[in-house]
Amino acid sequence: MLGEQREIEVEGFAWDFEPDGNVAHLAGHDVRIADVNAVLAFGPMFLRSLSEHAATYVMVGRDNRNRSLLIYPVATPEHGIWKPVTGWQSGDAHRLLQEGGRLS
Amino acid sequence: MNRDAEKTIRDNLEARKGSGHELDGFTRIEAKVSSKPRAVFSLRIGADELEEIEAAAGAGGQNIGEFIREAALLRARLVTDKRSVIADFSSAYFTTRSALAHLAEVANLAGLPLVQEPDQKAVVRGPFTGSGVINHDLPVQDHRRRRGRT
Repeated sequence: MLGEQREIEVEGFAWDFEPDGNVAHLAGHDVRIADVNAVLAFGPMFLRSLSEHAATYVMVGRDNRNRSLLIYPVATPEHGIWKPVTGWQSGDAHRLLQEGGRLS
Repeated sequence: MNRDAEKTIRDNLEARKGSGHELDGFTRIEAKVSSKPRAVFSLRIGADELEEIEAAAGAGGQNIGEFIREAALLRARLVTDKRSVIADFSSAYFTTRSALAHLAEVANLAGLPLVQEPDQKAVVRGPFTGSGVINHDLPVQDHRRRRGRT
C-alpha cells in the first residue's frame, strides 16, 4: 500500500434505471442501491489502480447484509458524484477488511 | 463516460472476479465522504409531460428537480404512513381484542351480564382499508347458562 492522501471526494452516487443501466447490472450481482449506500455509510476503504489511460477506483466495505463488497465507481461530470459500474461480494474484499481491522 | 467505455471497464474488472486477484494493482487512498450522500439519476419522461411539470413547478417558484423530489416524497410518505396506520390499527385491534377477551372471561366467571353472542361480528371501516368484517372469536361463555346452573 502506498501512503495515504486525501484524494477523492464522494458526495453520492449516480444511478441509471434503464434496463442496461448500473442498477440492473448490480442487481445481477445481488447488489442493490441500499447495499452500496450501506457500504458508504459504514466507512469503506477506497483504493485506486493507475493504468496508462485512466484510474480505476474501488470501494471496499461491509453492507447491511453482513457481506464484504467490492464496488467499482467511475467519476461522473458532476463533482463528487460517482457511478458504480459493477460490484459483488468478494473474498478478497473480506480479507482486506480483516487485515485492516475493519471486521468485528 | 459513455456506456461503451463503462462496459469496457466493467468487462475488465469482471474478468478478475473470483480469481483471488481482484485487488491486484490497487493502492489505498483516502476519501472524503459526505455525511449526507446524494443520489443522482435520470428520468425518462414524455416531452409533453415534462412541459406540464415544468409549468407547474415554475408557477410555484420551484425548479423541476425540487418539484419532482417534493412530489415523489409526498407520494412515498403517503404510502409509508398508510402502512404505519394499518400496522398501528392492527396492533390496537389485537390488544383490544385480548383485553376484551380477558374482561369477558372475568365477567363470565363473576356472572356479570357481559355477553357476546357467538355469531356477533364487528364491522371495521377505515380511511385506507375500505370496509371489512372481522369475526370475533372471543372465548366468551354464555353467562345466562352459567347463571342457570347456579
